[in-house]
Amino acid sequence: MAIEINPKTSLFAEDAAHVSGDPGIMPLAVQDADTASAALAGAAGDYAPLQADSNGRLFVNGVLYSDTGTAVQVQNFVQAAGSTISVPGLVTRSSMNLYNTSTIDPYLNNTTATALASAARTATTSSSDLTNFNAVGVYIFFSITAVPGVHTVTLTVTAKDPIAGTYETLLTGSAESTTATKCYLLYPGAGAAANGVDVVNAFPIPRTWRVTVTHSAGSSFTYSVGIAYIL
Amino acid sequence: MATATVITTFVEHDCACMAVVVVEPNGEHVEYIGRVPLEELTGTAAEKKAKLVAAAKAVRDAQQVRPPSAPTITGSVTV
Repeated sequence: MAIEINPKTSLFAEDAAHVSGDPGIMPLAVQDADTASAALAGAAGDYAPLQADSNGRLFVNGVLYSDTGTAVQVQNFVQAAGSTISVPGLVTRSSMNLYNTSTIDPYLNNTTATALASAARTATTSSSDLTNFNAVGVYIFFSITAVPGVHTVTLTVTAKDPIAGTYETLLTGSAESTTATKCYLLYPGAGAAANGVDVVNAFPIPRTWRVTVTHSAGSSFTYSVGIAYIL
Repeated sequence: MATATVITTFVEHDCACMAVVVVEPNGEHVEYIGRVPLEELTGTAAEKKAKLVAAAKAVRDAQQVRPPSAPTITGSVTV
């Protein structure tokens, strides 16, 4: 069907303001299959019609940009059978958090950390306050790698009084004078020490706690204290 | 502010760590470990050191925090 176009009323200059009722030419889009896999133009540089799916949604090949201008990658997920499917949208990840009456803590899996790094020491030394987010208990590994041959070192685990700021003892290891790795366990309901676990106490650990290694004298011991939180 | 002595540096869980010991006013030797993600530990050696020192200081500062004082209120009140 022939359509008469009046360029004086249907064409507008750049930046011309919109006026309700303005006539115009509807751009046509070709309804295609629900995947616009085939180009409808023969070669680069040809005019090509827009394509829409059976619901009238226009096909676009877009790149998402973050607010800093970086292209956002939309990942492909591999099905169990090995075929690849494209997910048309942003991939998001959620995680559980726990409120601590002041801020939001991440919910952590079993984690490990260094309480005291391996080093030679000649004086009684405490770790900084350690924060337990959501674990119930903890393994503590006291690794003594160099000893003077006299004197001893003893590891203690203490809980911090949140009001007074003082520390109360939860576990005391034995006095050590030789190289060894000692393993201590604090966990509610834990049984007696056995195998490689040297000392067990059936206490939970509080949010704020620390370890202290007490030197019987000023001679040099080399040791580290590693911790492994257990949910 | 306190003077600290660097004990050692090491890597743990994709973080560079610096352990420092501070002799606190009560005479305790307390070690603080500053952690900086390796991907953020950029710049010159001096800049890296500054980042690790700042991280260790932040650990100590967090431990030193005391709750702000509540207003002094005494006497009989109706509740």
